[in-house]
Amino acid sequence: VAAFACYHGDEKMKIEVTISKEIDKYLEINKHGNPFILSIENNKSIKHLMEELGIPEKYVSIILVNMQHKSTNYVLKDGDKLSLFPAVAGG
Amino acid sequence: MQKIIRVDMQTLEVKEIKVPDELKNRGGRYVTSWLVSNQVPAACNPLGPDNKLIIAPGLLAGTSAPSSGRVSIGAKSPLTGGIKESNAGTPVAQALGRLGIKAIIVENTPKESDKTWVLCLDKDSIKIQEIKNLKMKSTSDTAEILKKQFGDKTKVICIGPAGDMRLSAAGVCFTDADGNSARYSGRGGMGAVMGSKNLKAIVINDEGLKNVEPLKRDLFKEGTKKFAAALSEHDVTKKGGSLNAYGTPGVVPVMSDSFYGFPTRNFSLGKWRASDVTSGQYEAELVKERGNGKMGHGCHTGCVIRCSNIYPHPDKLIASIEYESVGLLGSNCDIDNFDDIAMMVYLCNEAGLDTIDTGAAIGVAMEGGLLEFGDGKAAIELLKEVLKGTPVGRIIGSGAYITGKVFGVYRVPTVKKQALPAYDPRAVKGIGITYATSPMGADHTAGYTINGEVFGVGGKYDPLVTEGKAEYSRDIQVETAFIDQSGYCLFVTFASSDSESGMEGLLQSIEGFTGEIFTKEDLMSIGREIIDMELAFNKEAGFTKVDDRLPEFFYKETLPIVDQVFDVTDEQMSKTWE
Repeated sequence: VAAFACYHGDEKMKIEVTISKEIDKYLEINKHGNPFILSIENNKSIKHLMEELGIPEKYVSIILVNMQHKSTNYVLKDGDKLSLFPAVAGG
Repeated sequence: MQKIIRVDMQTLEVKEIKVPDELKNRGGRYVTSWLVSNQVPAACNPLGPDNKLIIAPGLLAGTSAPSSGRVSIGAKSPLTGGIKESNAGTPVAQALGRLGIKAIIVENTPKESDKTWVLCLDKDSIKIQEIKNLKMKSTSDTAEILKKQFGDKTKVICIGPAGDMRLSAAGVCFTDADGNSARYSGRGGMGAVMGSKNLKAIVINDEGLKNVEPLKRDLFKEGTKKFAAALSEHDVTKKGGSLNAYGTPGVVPVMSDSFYGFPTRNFSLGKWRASDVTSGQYEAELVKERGNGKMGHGCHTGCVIRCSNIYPHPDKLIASIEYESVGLLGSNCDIDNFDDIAMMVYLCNEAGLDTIDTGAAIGVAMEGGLLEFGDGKAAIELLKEVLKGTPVGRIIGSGAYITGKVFGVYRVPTVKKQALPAYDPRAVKGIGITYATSPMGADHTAGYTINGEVFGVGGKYDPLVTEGKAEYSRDIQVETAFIDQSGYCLFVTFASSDSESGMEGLLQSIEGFTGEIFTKEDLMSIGREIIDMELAFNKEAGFTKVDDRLPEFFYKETLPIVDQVFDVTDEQMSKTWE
């Protein structure tokens, strides 16, 4: 698991993030779809985090936090496992 | 004028019969399940003279409705011992629709077992004729021989060696829009039933025939236009959307890396180490890199989604790689070489085998020690054994259940003897309820709860929650039964469940076609009628609630990462059809 920190103010908590390959080209550091640890401030919503990471909201359709579907308004908590995926279906 | 064609394989008589009133405005799965329920004794031997093979195009097949080229095959299943309907998208569906055929009933078994027969249909005649030297021919050789004899444009339904040998994982193959033998009613051994009747193929010529005309033309036009628009706007079905750009294997990364439920090493793991190099996204890269193959291929003309694809294997072009095939033939066998997986798909298509049951069978054989997990080359050789008809090939071609018995394996992923598709039910609970309770045996398409549990389409349901999932699975199973009779592809439900105008267009297209008022309630009641017929048949065939359960290991063995067993209680499960 690759780790990189994102310092905006005090480091408060850590979350594990998986961002699908199709979207992570918007990231500063491409993670190729692999999970990574992110240190973020408290009280940050997914919407806010996506803005900071530079991921356009329109490209994200599946938002999973600890295996539960969430909206972008969800406020992240320490230890959360977050997955962001574009609209996919079929199989 | 609509007709039913009855072919008696013993007397070799071909008759046209009247369509019963009950089937007037019905197609596909309704027609196959109604005919099987009414004409096949539930206790019969599926390979004997009392079983019937039913072929029925969907209601709208042959019209101008978008993505409506589906055809259903039905019979009593030699795999499950229950009723079976398995459908496919193919120009064959549209040709049957244009010929005014409601259903073909193939009954009885032939007197001489060494002959192979071909049924020939065109606008002027229907006849059955003996064609020699077709036995044990692959599906592509069969189609080529028949196209040479009957013309290049001929559409072909046929079986491969697996069907000739009456193996219970044998499917029925259809030619695609390019004339390749690549479309399948794969599940439940329908190819074995066709083989038991020595019917190697059906050739269809619909040249010069026009589309089927709806009764209320304007309403039909309005409805199909609305519906096509909804399909073209929805994120997953639009041009350049995930289905069109990556095909169904576009789902591999999300199932493996976020939901941890992609079957790996005979359903012992849910995260696949090679998800990035066996995905639809990767296939799209290969198509670009190798300069051949194709994404966004249509399985029939008139499909607006176009999720089929042609894989650019260095040795040959292979249509089509599906999510389930990557799961069962790839990760479930720990095979990470995409070229090898594609070659396995090709060999299954050639032998006339269901890729799901065959992949699950190889996974079980690997666990039983016949070959090593991850050995793609050995798996390819094993599939060639099916084409040759050797004893070990026959075992694999009989599916995961039989293979498990032969190799004494405990972890055999089947329900009602039919292999599980590529969603681990411990990671996505609702789909486990569908697997367990569908009258078809384990079948994701019977009630695709993945829509809400994974994709968040048509509502969002948390995948690990069990509460409310029986009801959710039931509602989707009922709606799907309707879709399976309509001729529409199941994938249209992505748009109809998320878009009001999509659903409205769908309902209008049905009403416009039949001329009879049609509401969402009618849709659900027709779907329920189908399921009830099927459940009644299965009950008579000897199924009990014990058959509506997943294999024991899912309740006892924890799936890593999600750290879950399958914990839907028997009581919750029983709610499904109450």
